[in-house]
Amino acid sequence: MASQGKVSRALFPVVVVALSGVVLILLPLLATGWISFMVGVPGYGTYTLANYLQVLLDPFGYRVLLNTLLFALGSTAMALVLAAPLAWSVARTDLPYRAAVGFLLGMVLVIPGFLQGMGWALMLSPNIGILNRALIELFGLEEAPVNIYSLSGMTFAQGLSLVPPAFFILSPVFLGMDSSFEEAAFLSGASKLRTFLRVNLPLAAPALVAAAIYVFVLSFALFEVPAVLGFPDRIFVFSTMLYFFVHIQQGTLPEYGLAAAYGSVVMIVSVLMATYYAKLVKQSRRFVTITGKGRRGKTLSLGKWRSLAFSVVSVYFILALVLPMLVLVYYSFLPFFKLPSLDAVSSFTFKNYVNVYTRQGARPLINTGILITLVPMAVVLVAMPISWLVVRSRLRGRFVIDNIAFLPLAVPRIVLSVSLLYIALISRNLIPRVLRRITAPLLKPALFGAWFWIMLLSFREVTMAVMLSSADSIVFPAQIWVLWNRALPHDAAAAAVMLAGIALILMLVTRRLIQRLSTPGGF
Amino acid sequence: MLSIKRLTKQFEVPGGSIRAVRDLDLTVEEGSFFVLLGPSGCGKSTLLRCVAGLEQPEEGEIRLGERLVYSARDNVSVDPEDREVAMVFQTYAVWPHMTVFENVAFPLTEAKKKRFPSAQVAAKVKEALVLVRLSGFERHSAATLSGGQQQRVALARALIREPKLLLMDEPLSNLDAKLREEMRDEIKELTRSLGVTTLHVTHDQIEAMALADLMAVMYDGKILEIGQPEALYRNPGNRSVAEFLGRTNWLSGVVAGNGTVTTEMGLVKCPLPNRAGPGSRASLGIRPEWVELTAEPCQSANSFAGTIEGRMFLGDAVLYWVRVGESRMMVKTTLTEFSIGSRVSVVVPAERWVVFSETA
Ligand SMILES: Nc1ncnc2c1ncn2[C@@H]1O[C@H](COP(=O)(O)OP(=O)(O)OP(=O)(O)O)[C@@H](O)[C@H]1O
Ligand SMILES: [Mg+2]
Repeated sequence: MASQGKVSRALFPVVVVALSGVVLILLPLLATGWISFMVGVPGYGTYTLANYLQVLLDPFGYRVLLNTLLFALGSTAMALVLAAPLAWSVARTDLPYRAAVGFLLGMVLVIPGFLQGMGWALMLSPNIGILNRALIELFGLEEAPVNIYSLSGMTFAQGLSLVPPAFFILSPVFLGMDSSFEEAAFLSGASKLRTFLRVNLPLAAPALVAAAIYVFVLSFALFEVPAVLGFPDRIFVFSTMLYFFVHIQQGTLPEYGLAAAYGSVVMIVSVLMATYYAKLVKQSRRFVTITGKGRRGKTLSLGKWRSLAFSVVSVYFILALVLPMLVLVYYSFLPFFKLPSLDAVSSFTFKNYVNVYTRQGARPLINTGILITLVPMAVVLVAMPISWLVVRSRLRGRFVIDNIAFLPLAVPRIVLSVSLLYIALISRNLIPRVLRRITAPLLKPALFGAWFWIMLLSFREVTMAVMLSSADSIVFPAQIWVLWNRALPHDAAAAAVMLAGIALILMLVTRRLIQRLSTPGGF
Repeated sequence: MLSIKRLTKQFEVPGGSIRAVRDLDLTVEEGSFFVLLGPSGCGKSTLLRCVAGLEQPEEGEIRLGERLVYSARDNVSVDPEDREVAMVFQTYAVWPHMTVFENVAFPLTEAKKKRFPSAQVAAKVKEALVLVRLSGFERHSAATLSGGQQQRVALARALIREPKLLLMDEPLSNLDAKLREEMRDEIKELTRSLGVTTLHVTHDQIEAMALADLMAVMYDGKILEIGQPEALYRNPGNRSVAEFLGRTNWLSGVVAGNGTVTTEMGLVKCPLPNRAGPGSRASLGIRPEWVELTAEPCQSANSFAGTIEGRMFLGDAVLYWVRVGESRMMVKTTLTEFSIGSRVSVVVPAERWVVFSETA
């Protein structure tokens, strides 16, 4: 008993940090709950159930619910259909350039979603979309053949950008799978297809379902793509509707109470899904035995499928990364809209880049730099003790902490007028999984992969949060958002290209660091 | 039944390649229990996996009965699912998402060839589970079984299709000591009664000798020696084989002629290899349990005076370390009466020594 006392004293700082982390997460959530029962000016409001009544009765809300469901289901399905085979082929087959796939997916992940949204808008908007205009000219069409400002357009663009999270959840699962499970099936006389259907697939099923739920919850709360592609034609999902309540309407008061009421409802639903997700993750871990003696899965030869698989992967990256970025770069050099031609190229100018600078100076750039260095560190500092407590300690109530730590994932951020630190905590839900890995030294590569992931995700989350929270363009993402909303696509594109450049540099540096740390003896 | 000719398998690794199996020849007779014994990393699993078709060798030939299943020269390589061999994995590889019944029935219901009607499947599974003493567990989820029970499921699954050849890759190494002995005896019993040809891999020499009709000692991708367990144990062909099969006391000396060798212990009488002429150097080995201890001074040949320096009680025997002149000898005996410091005589029957010529 005495030794236990000593241990708990040593634990004290850990507990303190963890608890303050929990408070930081809980406070805004409680605030949301509280606000949802208020009407009127913040600070002078009165208590009421009116907000919830309106939620129940408003047909607009139900339409948005339907939109959100379609959007979330569609993009989740698309992400999984792409990510599952991709994760499997990278983990277990001789797909060409496997190493590059991880890096490129990291790129897709780290480039803030609204840049992708802008890229697609510039390609396929009915008025100014380059592709639409080109198609109209080529075939002499009456109107734009594709409208990206639609629910399916949003779903498509979002689906593309949700492939990386799904991939990074699934790939350790496929990597860790003991290949003797499938070998035992072969030696029982089962064909490759039957083995896949009866052994590989069921074994991976809990992980697949878990990934699906994770991505679904994520897409429920995602804001950027629906904002960029949905606002022009007033197609709302929950997150953009909440933004609309709080920001857009001029001449009326922001409807914090109503937004909070919607937020609370979404929150409860998301938490339920998150709980189910956690249960599934536990289950999938039981199936995927990672034993010291177990053999790493053997690399399967794709044979004649190799080039087909490679083409599919290439098409994905062209759609998710190359095309949107290329369009942004193209726009950023144009003085005004032109279809791509020699003439257009000869009119290229740096004017837009100079504009970005003259408008605000280097201030936004510097601020952004500080943010993206500090916030991931804060995330790690607060999240580590939380996850350590959950995983390692015998503290009573640690499961409650685990569940609380999961909350921010499930909560649309817009509702919560939040501090930066809190926003950073959003990605902390990843850490319990990561820490479990830390405790298993066998999994070193997986561990570093996960760290990498957290860093990048916090970068993304931060840019997002900042974009929403600061009206004046003191940071870069906010500046882009403002420029875009003022219909200055060329300036916005120039700023976007710069932001993407920062993301790329950040990626390269992190990767370098990880490589250095994960080489044997590098510790 | 199984014949392997000049088999070579190498792995490409960063900075070169590992030759896990080197130019190896092996034959296993129909119905016999063959054990491959060797230290960790010597290529046992790799060899087994080549036979199963899970690994693609670079050179050589593998035949199962008359059937050529792998040949580098003729470019033949039969898929694992078509080889009609069964394998028990070290990690058991019992599918956790299925019940015991589904696991064992899998080779009957899911195999490419020979699907069975369900009534027959049920009967066969029942029979197999009786065989491995797991009747009544049909509906249990495989994920809830203990290690020993999983091992039995894996065995039942391997045996249910009556394979031509049963491969076992250290199936006992993850079990605790007592269970390991039980399972070992059961495996012996079972394979003997079914008459299935078995190739079994282990790094435990006791397990190897207990199970084998014929065994091979493998080292560094090659086979050092093949023989019956008793013959190998008594008369190993070289020093490495002797060492793999159990503890040995080694002495070094010079042949004095007349069937004797001068060692640091004194003049030892022993059977000499043909080539060992007077003046040549030789190593002499003797196993601890073949050395006798007596309290009285003894006058016979090969008896030496010594002092007990160490004692370890093993339950069914006692291990003594005896100082004899310059050297120290390990002695395993059922006599318990000696204690540290006792003066004893050490007697080694001449015919028990194994002697190898030492080449300079
Ligand atoms: N897939 C692989 N890739 C690279 N090297 C391998 C691979 N499989 C085995 N090896 C190497 O081949 C050699 C033989 O390995 P193998 O697994 O056959 O040994 P083993 O005798 O079964 O050992 P153990 O008793 O530990 O199971 C080892 O040096 C091992 O590192
Ligand atoms: Mg092995």
